[in-house]
Amino acid sequence: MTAPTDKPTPRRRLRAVASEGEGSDWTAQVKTAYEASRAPLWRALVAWGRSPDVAEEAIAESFAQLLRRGDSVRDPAAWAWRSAFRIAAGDLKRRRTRAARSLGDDHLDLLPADVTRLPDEAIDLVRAMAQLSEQQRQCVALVDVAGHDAPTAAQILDTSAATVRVQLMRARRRLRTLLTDEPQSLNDRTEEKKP
Amino acid sequence: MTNRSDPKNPSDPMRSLDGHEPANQWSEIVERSNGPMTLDPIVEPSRRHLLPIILGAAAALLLAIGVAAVAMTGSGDGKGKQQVAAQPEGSTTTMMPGAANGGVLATPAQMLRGRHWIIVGMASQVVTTGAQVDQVLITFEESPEGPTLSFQACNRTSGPVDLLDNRVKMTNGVSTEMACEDQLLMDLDHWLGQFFTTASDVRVDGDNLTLTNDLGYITLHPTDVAVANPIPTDTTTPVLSKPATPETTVPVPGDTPSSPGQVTPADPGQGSTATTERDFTVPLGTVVPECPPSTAPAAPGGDGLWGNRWRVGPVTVNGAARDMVAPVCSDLVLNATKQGFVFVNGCNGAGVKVRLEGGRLVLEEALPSTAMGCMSQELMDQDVWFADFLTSGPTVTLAGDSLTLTAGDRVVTATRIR
Repeated sequence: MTAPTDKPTPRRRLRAVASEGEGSDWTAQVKTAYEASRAPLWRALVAWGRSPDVAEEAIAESFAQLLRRGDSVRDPAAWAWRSAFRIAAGDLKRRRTRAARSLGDDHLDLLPADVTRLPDEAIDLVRAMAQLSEQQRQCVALVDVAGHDAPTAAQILDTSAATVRVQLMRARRRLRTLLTDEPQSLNDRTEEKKP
Repeated sequence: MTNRSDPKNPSDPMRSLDGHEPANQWSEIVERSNGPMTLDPIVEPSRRHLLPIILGAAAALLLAIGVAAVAMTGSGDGKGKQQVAAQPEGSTTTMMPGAANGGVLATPAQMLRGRHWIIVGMASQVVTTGAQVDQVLITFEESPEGPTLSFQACNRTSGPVDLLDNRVKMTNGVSTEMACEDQLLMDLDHWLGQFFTTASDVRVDGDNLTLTNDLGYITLHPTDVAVANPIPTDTTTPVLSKPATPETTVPVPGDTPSSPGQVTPADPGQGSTATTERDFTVPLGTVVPECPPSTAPAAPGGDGLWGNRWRVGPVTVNGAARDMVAPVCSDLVLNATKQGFVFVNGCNGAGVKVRLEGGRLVLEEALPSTAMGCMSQELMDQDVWFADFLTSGPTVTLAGDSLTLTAGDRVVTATRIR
């Protein structure tokens, strides 16, 4: 495996470091992979799933499973990114089910409490992202937030690069409106909910 | 290529999460890897690909069995070939236009298959009829994987399409991503994508088919263009020529329309240039020689106010005729399925909920507008005039096929479109 000559995306960096580690033990490979991708992967997961706690948990679990599987995984980079999203999706679903059971459906759109530890601009971004469709959120998170290119994002999402581009175009158009016009109205909405 | 937006701009919202990542948790991960799995076990991606193959093989086997069973039924006494499989209750079958010997029965959705279509009528709350709409060539093609739908206003979009009885829905559409100078085309692309990915009912209107869903409706007319010659994929960035020219060909239903994907030289007399132009210069209002027949579902009896489409004109102000920007399909659609909905379609399309109160048409909210730039200021003014007129609560008088709306000294007469 050789490092691509193009400008490195997180995944390309990940491939590069993984290839440097080839021949050494699996734990060292996974560790270098983890260090290369944990930051962009966390940002992508938070932007998509709105919960820093879920993101951290999903990353930890995904790399733990990667370690456990050993070199039976052919492409550790793709595997880690894809599995982290799937683990996070499962965790979010469980949390939403629990919330619906205890609080009712009206509370499902509220942001998780752990978001409050993020800066205001990040909360605005997360709120705006919540207005997008699931697939649009994934595309923006992987491309605009984490820095992947469309083909790589498509591999992670198991879809085509064209789909990613279309979803991105629509998402960006919507986000432009939301992020330029809505901070005030979003704040207003938050305050309206206060008793 | 990294697509991350503007890395030099610290105020870029996409970078707002930077620097807030949690601390390195490697030691915890190693510890966790020695324990039991706590969350979703992950299926190896390479093995997941076996599942669709297995399902596909099973589906092919079932299909083969079904085909064999039908063939056996038909070979018994010769009459089987005339038999049509029992249709589900409520489904519609129609003789395929042009089908030889009347031997082919098709549902409305099936009639779309393997043909090119042009839009001869549409209404939505988002997109107006404009010079571009008739340029959109919509193609339903057959492929080994099943029927596909493609269309192109600015970018070309295509994807598999489900054609069931009288329902149509495109799934997983993909699109080219050209930059288009004309926002109208971009909006039209976007709206068509939304429209076709929403399940539509298909209805036969003579030679035309009308697709209707919650976003509006589109009336399609078949063209003579062979499907074997699909729309060329335009990989150039188009430069659109805006001004209207009288020489522009107005497509007539049945004629071969120029594909919006076709790239024509800006001026053949000046030789070829690096920049190509696409001609969207059909004068507004003449894109459809005659406004298409009513596609609004008729009310019971069809003689009432609701559930009909009305062609506006003439209009008088203080007894004097107000010039309409002719011919303009300025239709008033009073939709029966959403009774209390009026749609005015001039330059900018606009629809709004209305009610009849004491003989007056009362708008329940402000008349929205798509606020698109129109090629004619007169047409824009006419839209504004209509919006103001409807907002003023005109009285409604219905006499046969004639509808009269009166607000002060302004009188709008409309004729029912049958």
